[in-house]
Amino acid sequence: MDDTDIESAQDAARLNRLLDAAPAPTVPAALERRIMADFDRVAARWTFAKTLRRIADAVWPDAPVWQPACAFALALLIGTGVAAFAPLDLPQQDDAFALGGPPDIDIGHGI
Amino acid sequence: MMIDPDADLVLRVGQGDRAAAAALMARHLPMMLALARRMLPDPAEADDAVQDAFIQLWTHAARWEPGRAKFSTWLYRVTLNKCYDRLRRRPTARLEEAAEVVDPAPGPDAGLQNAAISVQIQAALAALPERQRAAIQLCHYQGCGNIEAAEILGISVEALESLLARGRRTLRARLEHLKDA
Repeated sequence: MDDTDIESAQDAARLNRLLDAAPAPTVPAALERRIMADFDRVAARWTFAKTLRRIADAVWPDAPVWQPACAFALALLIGTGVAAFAPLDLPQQDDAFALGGPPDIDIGHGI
Repeated sequence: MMIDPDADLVLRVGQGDRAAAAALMARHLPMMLALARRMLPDPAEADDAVQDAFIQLWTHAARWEPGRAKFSTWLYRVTLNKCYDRLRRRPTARLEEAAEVVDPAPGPDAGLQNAAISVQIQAALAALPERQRAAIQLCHYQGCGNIEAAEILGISVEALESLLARGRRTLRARLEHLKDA
């Protein structure tokens, strides 16, 4: 027999009536609660990503996340590079002198 | 371009909107549960399959791309796949259990005869090969058109029509004794 043989309209209607007699299941409230609890759990996992997104939006509104992320990474790289390879030539302070004894300040006791 | 009635809700779910998640669940849960309960003989297992499908939805909602596929088509496909996964894990128990399918909600005022007929119909459906059962479920109970049902099942429309025809022929034969009911 051909797979797609045409059932008579009467047979089709009768079978459809029978199929309709099988009721749809009612949704258990417990299942709804379980599904929403899953949502809450997944939503809690999103918090870190959402926080990042909010910071990115504040710094660079309406940009895709990669733009502020790249800008931040570039700034970090430049800062680290400058610190590592081009240290500033600051004058050295003589801490030993500063901590060795009382300050040599004349406040007028010798008068 | 086709407007997906769920697109806005899915977008909001992706942003963590709980009210949108509840609305999306209320819209699709009954049909998903009906699909899973008719695909799996054990109602508890069907509930688990639907729950798994929703977890996948919650997890992927933020990455949903509107316009690529109709959301409900994707959701029903996920649900069906969850059912198939469970059927694969227990291939030998299915037929024996199919005869014991119990009407989950006969209603307090339903007559005994109606309840018995309903049980027989569900048993006949449960005894169909899973692809035929899915095709009948999608086209008859979910009200999907042939194109959408074929898309959900990942087959051609011709293959779907063949599955439907074979499934309906088998059901007619198995339910022959109920024709006067």
